[in-house]
Amino acid sequence: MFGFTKSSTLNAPSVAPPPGVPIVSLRDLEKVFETPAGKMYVLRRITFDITPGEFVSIMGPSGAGKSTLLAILGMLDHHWNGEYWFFGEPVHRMNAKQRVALNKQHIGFVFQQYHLIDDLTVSENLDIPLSYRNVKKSERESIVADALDRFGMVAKKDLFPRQLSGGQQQLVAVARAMIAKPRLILADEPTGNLHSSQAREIMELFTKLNQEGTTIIQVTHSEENSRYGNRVINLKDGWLEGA
Amino acid sequence: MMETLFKDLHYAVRQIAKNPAIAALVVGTLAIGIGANTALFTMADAIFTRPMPGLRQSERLVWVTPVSAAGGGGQRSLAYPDFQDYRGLRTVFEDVAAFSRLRLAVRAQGEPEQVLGQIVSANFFNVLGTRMALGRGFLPQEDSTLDAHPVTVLAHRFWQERFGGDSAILGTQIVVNGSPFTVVGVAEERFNGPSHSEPLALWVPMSMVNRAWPLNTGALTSRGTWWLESIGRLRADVSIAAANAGVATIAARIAQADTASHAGITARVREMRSGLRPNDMNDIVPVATLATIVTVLVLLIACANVSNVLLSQAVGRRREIAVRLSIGASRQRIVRQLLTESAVLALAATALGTLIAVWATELVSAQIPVPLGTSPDQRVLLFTLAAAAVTTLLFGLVPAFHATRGDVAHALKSAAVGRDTRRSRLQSGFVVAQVALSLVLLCTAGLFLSSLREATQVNVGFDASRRVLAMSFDLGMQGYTPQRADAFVRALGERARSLPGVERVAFTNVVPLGERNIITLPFIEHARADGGARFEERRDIETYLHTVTPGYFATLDLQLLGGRDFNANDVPGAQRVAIVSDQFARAAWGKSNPIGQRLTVGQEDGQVVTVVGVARDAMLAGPNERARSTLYFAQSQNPGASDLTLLVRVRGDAAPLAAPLREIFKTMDASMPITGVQTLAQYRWDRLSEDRLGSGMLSIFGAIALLLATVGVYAVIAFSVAQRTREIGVRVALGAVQRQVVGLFVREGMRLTTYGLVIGLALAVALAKLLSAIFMGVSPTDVAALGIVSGLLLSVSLVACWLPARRAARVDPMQALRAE
Repeated sequence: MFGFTKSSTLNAPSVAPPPGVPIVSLRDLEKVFETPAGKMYVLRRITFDITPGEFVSIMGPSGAGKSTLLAILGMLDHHWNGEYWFFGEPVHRMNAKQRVALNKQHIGFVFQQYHLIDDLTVSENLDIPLSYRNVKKSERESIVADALDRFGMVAKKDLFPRQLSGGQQQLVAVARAMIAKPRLILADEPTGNLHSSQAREIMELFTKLNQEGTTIIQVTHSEENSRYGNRVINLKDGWLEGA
Repeated sequence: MMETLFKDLHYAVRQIAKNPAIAALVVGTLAIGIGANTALFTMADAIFTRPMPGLRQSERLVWVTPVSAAGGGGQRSLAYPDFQDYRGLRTVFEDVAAFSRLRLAVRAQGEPEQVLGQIVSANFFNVLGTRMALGRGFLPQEDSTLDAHPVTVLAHRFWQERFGGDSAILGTQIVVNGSPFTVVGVAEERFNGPSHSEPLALWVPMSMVNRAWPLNTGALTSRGTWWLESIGRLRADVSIAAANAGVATIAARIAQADTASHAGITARVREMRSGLRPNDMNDIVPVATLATIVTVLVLLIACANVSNVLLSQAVGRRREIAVRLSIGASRQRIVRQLLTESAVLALAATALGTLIAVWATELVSAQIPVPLGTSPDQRVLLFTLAAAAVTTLLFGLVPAFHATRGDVAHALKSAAVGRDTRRSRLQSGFVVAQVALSLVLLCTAGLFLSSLREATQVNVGFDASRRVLAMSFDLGMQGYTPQRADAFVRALGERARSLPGVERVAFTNVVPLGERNIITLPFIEHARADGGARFEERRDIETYLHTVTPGYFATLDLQLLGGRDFNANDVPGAQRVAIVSDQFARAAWGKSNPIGQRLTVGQEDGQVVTVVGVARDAMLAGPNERARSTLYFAQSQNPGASDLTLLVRVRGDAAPLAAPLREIFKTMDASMPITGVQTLAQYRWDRLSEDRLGSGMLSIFGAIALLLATVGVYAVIAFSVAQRTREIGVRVALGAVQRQVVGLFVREGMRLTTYGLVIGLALAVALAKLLSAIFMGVSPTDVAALGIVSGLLLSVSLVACWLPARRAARVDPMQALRAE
């Protein structure tokens, strides 16, 4: 459907992680809101490790804190307590600027609503993360061309997101997340707005990326989607279940 | 870096094209602010910094001015012998020129007219570096022998207007003050003398002073006749300090030789940077300051308005910015991108603002009698670009920083945008600032308008209506001797009196409500202990001096409170008499009877006059002038006052008398130019023309500010309605009626307006206090003006709040809730 050629090699992480060090390590991570009625816990004493190359699904009922946890892992949310180690680096001791730099270097994010920039074409949406990483223009053009080719989007490179279907938009979003060769992909309900066949294609793509060496953590409600991964973490009311 | 900039520019243009209406609003709003400031800068540049046209290497030109050694008092004029002494300072100056402005009667083709000219030393054009468009300047020998060289150089504009730019003008003769002068040259285009001035018509050499200024006494010989201005061209290696030392030495030598006129006088050189003379700053600075305050306020209001628009727009882009942040953009990068968008808008506004500035400058310049070089130049362009940069920062920085703050994760999650408290506070702050600043401008305009109204309606103390016609002429310019002048005045008076409808006729040397005034200091007689008398200078009684004929007071319906008017017995040789105003009498003699008191003017041992009458106080100099005492001398005992005005009082409208009076003049002396033929009502109207211009400009700016502030209030409330659609739906679903929904938003808007009003009133009163010290007639306690303006702002704001609030009341609750 996407013109994706299964035989091509996707982007793989360029540098091998330190051996034996989890890519993500949480110890007693908590997120709490202060309200007039008292403290409201969104996440409570979350503790787990994720090793490089895992494909983890975070599941749980609505309001369990899954998306919040993902946002913290992706360093988009800075207001939390506890310990968060990323490849042995203490994220909890970093300031916001350092976290953003770490995010930029290692993490790609895929959103349920795709979150492509409406006023940029497909190729421009792919170019943007590279330009934010100060990649030279000639190099960027080459990387973007490669990604368009590998994801079968060459014919659509000058189209705007509103001119694409939901599945095509999510494909572009995945390509954008991968284009800077992150070690970790975080996906928040990546197939939530897609119908089943499109969803299947995206999950197969994630599987392929994982086989290439990219660690994937997805938030999902779907049992079917969770079967693509090799591990499930369940959250309920902010707590890890079975912890 | 360049590549990123191009990307940002490319994206900025795309964003702007997406919302053309918003872009047009932003560009238009900013263009007004930038245009106003650029226009002001252009005017200020033309007045304060640009060298006058026709001057070459003006950085080496300096004013040579006598000043009081004790300090204060400002620039004085120069006597001709003193000028010659300074000219001899060859170690300092390459050369020094002297000049003086004069009104001259000129007859070229057609009717005689009075023009403004300059009498100059022969080296005048050489010292200034002025070229001739035709012919030549003056030769050195044309300054050497008195009355021997009746030659003239015409101003380019005068040549074009009066002679059609005829290149055969050289060698022809024109009549100046009754004598033929040969035209030897036409000055280069736009040259109008070394300082800002009304348009000059011609120049004559100093040797012709007896023709140009017939009643002069010792103009070229007396050190006591101070009448010239002087400009020197410094030698290349001479500094200002060295020049000052040199002229001070000369001044000391002169003072030693002539203590009578020069005691306590030294000299100084001042750089000639523009067309402003050293004393001109006192008049210009207050107006320039006020103009600067006004235009800066308009720019600030415009920027606040645009910031609000951008803040509102930022809401719609919150998701986009959160995505950019989440995929690796730094905050700095996003701010730079947003500022680039602001800069594109600012540049577009600058281009439009420049057009507005050019148009506005031309409009204002046309109202000013002094020609100014206001064509845009490099400095103006640089200023405009700087204004664009400042404007970009002012209106773009806050929204840009605000857009990158906040919770990225939350922004990515939620599709619906609820109220952002921080943004709401910022927007409210901008609205309050706009309202406050607008009120300051409106109040300032209101106070000036009130002052103008006051000046228009105030009782000036005499009849300044259409019943009195004035007609001015200069017998001295025509070379009339005192006897001939006396005969002319008598004959003219009789013939004017014989015209139908004429009730009274009189003459004066200072036309009431005219531009010219003569101010002097009196020396009041006091008895000495030894029984003699001394005359004490009264510096506290700065007084106007008028020379008038009998019947003057009755002609103007200016009441005499005591004593008598001048009469036929007040002749040369008889006791010299004066009439004083009531204010003069009280200041000089308190409660004592002023009749019979004696005084002199100008100097202690001047001619003594005896007071024979007391006149009611009158605003003869104009309703906006400082109230000064007035002293009246009898014209018959002061024949030197030959620049006279005929005043004719009639039963009805005096204007129709202008034609018959002109005919009378023609038959009596066809070569004499007549000026200022208008009723005193017209004089009163003209006297306030500057005030009207100023008040008009302030009112325009005030109206613009009000419009911007109103749009700002409207926009904030409208945006608030859009943001709270769901809340409105819920309120209506819970039972709120239309009135309650409307009231919710009107209260919000009026609350902001009220805050702005309170702050604005405090600022306005403070500014008014400052202005009242500088501008006559402006009162900081003009409660009526402040009240009216505040009421206007409240009313307009109420409408601006009500319109969008009314829309809120029409929200369909089901639709509003479903959209969530």
